[in-house]
Amino acid sequence: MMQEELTESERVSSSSYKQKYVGLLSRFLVDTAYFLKTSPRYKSAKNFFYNLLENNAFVYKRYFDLFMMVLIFSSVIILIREVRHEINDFWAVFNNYIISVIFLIEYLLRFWVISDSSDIVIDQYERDEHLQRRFRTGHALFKIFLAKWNYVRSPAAIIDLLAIMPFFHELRLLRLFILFRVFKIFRYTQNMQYFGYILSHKKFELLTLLTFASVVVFVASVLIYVMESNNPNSPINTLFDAFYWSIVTISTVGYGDVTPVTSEGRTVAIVVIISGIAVISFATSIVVTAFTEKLDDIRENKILADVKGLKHFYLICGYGIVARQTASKLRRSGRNVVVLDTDHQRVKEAKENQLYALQLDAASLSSYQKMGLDFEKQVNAVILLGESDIANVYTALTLRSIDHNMRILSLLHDKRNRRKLQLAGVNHIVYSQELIGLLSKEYSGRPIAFETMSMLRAEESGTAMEEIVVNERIADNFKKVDDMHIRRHRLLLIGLSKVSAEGFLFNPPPETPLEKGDIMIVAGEHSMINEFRLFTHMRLR
Amino acid sequence: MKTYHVVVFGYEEFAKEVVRQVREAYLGVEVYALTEASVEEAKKEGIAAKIFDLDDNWDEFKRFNMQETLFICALDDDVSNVFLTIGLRDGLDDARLIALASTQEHASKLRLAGANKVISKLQTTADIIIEVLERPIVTYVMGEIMQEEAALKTVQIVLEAGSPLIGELLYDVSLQLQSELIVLAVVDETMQTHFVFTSKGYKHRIEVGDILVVIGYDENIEKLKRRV
Repeated sequence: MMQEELTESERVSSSSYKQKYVGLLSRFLVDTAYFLKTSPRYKSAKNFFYNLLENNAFVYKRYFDLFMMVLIFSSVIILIREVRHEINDFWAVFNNYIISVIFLIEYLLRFWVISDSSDIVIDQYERDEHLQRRFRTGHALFKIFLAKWNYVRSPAAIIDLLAIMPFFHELRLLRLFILFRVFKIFRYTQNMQYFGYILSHKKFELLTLLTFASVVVFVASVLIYVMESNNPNSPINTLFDAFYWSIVTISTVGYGDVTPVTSEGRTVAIVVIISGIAVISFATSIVVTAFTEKLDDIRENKILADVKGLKHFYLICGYGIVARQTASKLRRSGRNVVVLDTDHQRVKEAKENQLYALQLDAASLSSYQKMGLDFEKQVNAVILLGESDIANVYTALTLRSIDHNMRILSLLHDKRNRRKLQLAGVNHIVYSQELIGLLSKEYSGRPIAFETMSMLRAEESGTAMEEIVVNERIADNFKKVDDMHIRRHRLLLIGLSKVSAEGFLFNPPPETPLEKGDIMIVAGEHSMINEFRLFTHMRLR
Repeated sequence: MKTYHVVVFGYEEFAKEVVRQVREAYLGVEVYALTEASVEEAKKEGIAAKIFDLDDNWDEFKRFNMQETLFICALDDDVSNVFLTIGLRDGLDDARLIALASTQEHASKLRLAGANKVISKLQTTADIIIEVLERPIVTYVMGEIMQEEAALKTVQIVLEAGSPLIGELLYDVSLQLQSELIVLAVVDETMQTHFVFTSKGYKHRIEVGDILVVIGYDENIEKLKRRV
């Protein structure tokens, strides 16, 4: 009895210890998860590494990819050199350790960024709290494990792991694992990723083909072995010989080094050769069909990648008649233009006009998610040239919901909708009808003055009125307007937009001081303006 | 070349805006529309309007002083607009014609048809869009100096015999006036524009009948007008 009570007390004590440790672990897990989730440094570091490894739009990723490819090729070159030559210790250490350590770090970083464990813990904790039950530590840990396991068992991660292998051993056989590093190139080249992506869409067909080929190879190997192995004149003596012959024959390679000599064997060969032709034709058709079906996708992905790589461009939403004219003028002045339109024909036309064009709905958030743009850094301004004010208002609202600061210009079709466009956050509204009306009035009153100003506006006239921003260098070199000798450069200084509160100064006196941020409006010939720009940057005190 | 009368052909989308703008500046504005409905609409706005067709005899317009009247061909349909322009040129030799065109192709046809000035709707819109985005300060300045009611003005001054500027180089004139005004260009009797900042402009000697294009504030422009 006494013995039973003791055991019972021990059991209770052991169970409470267990509970205590589980409780401590749970608390530690939850506290750590919240700490990591609220730590800006941790978040920014994780974001940085995620972008570096996984985000094709990230600027530094291409440099990282290039660096990794250089390492891969160096590794393979060293391996090839090693076959017949002695390599010095540095290259051996570099190949077996330095590169492997870099790959190991990369593997661990990918393992880290691929899922967010703190999110899983917090999510589980908050759900359990909500349902008023104890935090299920095991459940959370299992979910974390599952997320990481999904990564570990992915083909890309297995290749990554195998590429690190030479690091663990210096055995000759393991050196061959270096060749797995070549497969890592898939990770760093987008075209190879497209290739994999396209073929993955024909998984069923390819699997069927593989099954068919495997069955043919298996049956043919067994049959040829049975028919030929007892014949002393036949080169097929083992099952491996039979298997080798089947593969060489079905692939239509046919080296001729192993050939059946019996009539039964040759009959099997006929069947395998015919099956081989079928396999090759089937395989070719699958690949060709896959590429034909996905050709538009490939092209679009290529344009998307190009657009993501652009530093500055104008985004034109809607490719109507005004857009065509605007885009072509912007292109002529060396600006990049990206066009979005839902109409296939218009997108095609924009592409023919050497523009980046995507068949996407400019009014849909998902289009911009797909494009993965950094509006602040990449987009100079968005130009809304949709067919109706309704479309432009809707697109403006979509864009405003993404970024509050981007510059949006819209064409106005009906003047009654001006206020609506303003409310939707459009910064500049262009109403053609009013412009044309104004121009007609101006021309009727002062035709010569009007023509003179038009000539200054028209790009083909050779003259222009342009803005020159006073940067730090100019402000350091030229203290006042007179120092710039603008007339000596055969230009006219029409005015100066002061960064200080003075605003725009028409015809500023020579003693007007120049400050960083001021904008000069000069009129003159294009070539003289360009020369003047150079002059402002050349002279140093 | 002061304009007193403006005759606008058409009363559609663009023509309405043209009428709205010019009627602020000129009292004698008349509309000639292709449909009865358009005529009625214009009349409701208080504009003198009549119906016409493209084969009309333009003798009726000979009652206007051609130096003081401007004809604006603003029909929405480009083909009709070209036909109208050529018809007007045929009937009224010395009329001043402005025509609106949708595209560059139509613009060149309108020029061939005899329009003195063609305003391309499409090109102008694209130019303005680019100017607003690429050169906002220039847009502001252009806007300021092209508005008649603004303090800063662009004016054209005809230099008549006896003006102290006759015989001087455009560049010297520009230097003399630079503290008050900017002399942008001079237009000679052949209607060729010499910009003061181009080499040709520097060497141009001012003659009777030349037209100076200057930018400046009202008071300085008035002073210059008195001086010349």
